Amino acid sequence: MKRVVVALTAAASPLLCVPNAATAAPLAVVTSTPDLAAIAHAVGGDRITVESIAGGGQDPHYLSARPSYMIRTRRADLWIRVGMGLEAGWEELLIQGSRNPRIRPGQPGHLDASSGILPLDIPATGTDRSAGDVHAAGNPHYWLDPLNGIHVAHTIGERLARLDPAGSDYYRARVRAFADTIESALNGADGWQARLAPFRGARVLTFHRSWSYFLKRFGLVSVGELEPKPGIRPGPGHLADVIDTATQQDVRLILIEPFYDRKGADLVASRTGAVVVQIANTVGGDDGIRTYPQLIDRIVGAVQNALATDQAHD
Amino acid sequence: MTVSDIFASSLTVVVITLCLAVSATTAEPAEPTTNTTTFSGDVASRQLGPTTLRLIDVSLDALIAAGGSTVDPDVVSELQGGAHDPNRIGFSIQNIELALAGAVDPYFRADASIIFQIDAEGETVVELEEAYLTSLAMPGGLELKAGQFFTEFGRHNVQHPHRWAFVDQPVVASRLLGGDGLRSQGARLSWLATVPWYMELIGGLQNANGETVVSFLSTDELDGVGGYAHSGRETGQLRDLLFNSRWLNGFDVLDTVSINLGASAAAGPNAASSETHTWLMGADLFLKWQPTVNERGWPFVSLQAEFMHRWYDVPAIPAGPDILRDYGWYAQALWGFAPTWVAGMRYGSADSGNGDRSLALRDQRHRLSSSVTWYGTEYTKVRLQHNFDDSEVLGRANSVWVQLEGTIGAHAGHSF
Repeated sequence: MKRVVVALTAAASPLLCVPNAATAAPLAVVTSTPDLAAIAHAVGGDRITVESIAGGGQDPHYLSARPSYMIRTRRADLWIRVGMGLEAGWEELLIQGSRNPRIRPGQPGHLDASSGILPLDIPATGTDRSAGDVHAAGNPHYWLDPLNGIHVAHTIGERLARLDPAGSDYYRARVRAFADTIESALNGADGWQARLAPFRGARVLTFHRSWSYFLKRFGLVSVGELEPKPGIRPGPGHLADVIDTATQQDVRLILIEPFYDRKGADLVASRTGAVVVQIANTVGGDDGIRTYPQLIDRIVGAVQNALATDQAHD
Repeated sequence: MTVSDIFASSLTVVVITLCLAVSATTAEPAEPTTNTTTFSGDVASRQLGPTTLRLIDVSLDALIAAGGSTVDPDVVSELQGGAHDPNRIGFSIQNIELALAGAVDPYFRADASIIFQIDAEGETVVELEEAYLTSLAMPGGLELKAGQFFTEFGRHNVQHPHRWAFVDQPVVASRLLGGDGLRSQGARLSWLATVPWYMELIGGLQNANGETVVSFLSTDELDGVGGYAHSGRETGQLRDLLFNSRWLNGFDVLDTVSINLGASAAAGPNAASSETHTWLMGADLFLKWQPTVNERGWPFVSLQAEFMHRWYDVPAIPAGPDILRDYGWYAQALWGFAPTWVAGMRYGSADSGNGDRSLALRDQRHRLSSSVTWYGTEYTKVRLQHNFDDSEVLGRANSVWVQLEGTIGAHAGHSF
């Protein structure tokens, strides 16, 4: 009995340590990916602090939980996820382990940034895991279309305004500034559309089907992936088929993220004359890429160089 | 049946009923407070307008093994002390786990796992492995768990067999925690501390009797520890319950390295007499290296080690010890050397300090396991393992096991 009383008292004492909610402190925002963090920072400015769980260049599908992740989410006021199943492998464990009821799904402190995004690559009919690790709700890599980036900024801005009404005007102004920056970078005289316009209709291959939104925005056409099915590494038999397809379709470019092994891509490139571009599609994946516009700019530049080089060899 | 038995059984029944009720009810959608395109890929969910209401996550995990050994079948079943280890020459259905989980309401979450197994005699065994409610909304970083669950003692005890890095449990776990692991009905409180590193403090109370509480009151169908007969002791007071505590720390030492250090203790009455108690103590370490840019988790290197000690108080007899001492440890290293491939090595040993050491569960025992595993995807694995066993009582043995696992259903999270 005495043992139990001591135990209960010891268990109750932490209740005395509950920290006071700081009313004037910046909103603590934690995001799943660095791209969301970059957009959140652009929208929230000084009124928020932002941290991302996944680092630049990391594959957000396959994060194994580390002790420091729980500490970051423990004090978060707002959790923002990409959604559409991208974080299905780790988000729930992180939220539960954080013991932070404010960021649970359904709470104002939980934001799914895919809200209102028009999804691509939704499987046509019912699908199961024999088709590989399929995202049934569609392709979650939507931040690679700059217009989706603007939409995400609006979504985040609305939620920040709801959690911090005093900052509504501030957030609204910053969202508008962000949208203007993206729109002029996209459609301006020497903008992204202009730079990739000569290559509209060019055929590309990707390692994993993560580039769909970027390709669609800039009129590039994907003829397939090096992965035989999502989550399955390419073997020699499948690579032989890919080489045939790439030759027939005159594929000029192979896009692959830095966390994948590029041997298969290099093999296909050597047989077909395509150029391999191994580049991060998340902010912070390459040096000097700190903001969302810089990310899109870097990808556009790399694609432009690769396709221009390829053209020069024709 | 004692009061706490009735309480625990009712709690378990309530939990199961809640789980079934959650899946059967046409729940009213919560008033939308946030966006409506929440993704759910689960079987039992309701489509309500543009939203999917996720009701219950269901998954089935099948763990199947086959193998052989240089020693006789009856020796094999003793060498493989875990109830879910492959324990016979031929094929074993180690563990078919049906896991159900879901949010009950803003206050609680429910988890249950029911395991099916075919034992060495070909009989089907069904066990309620775990079934508990977890609080969602307690203040101050607290979390309450109540129901039937694995005692949080060390790292290995709480892992379900399909998560093990080897086909069988470490020798010291079979001896001190039992072949099914240390699990029982009860409640526990956990506190996530407000310190700059991950620190968790756990304190819990559980029933001390049953098949899966072998170092404590246990059950009279099992042999007593150290050859001492069962006293038939009942749970009469609160001090006849099993008390356990755990202190866990996690540090991200570098971007690429994280370390977990833990200490655990458990104390409770034992079956040797109406007065005697058992104390268990353990220390555990886990270290993982993984580059920040990795291909689906590869490459990585991890190291896990645990040490456990049991003091088993026994009635005084002439020329006999007052307290039986048993202890052991294991260390395992895993190397993800190529995407989807993991090589592993584990060394474990267990021994007793006094008492009757001619028993198979108290002699000096060593085991060296080597394994290679192919993880085709997160949902499947094939493993080949060799065990070299050296036991004073059971002799030496070489065994080879092949294991296959497949999961269908809700996506399991990646815990560290």
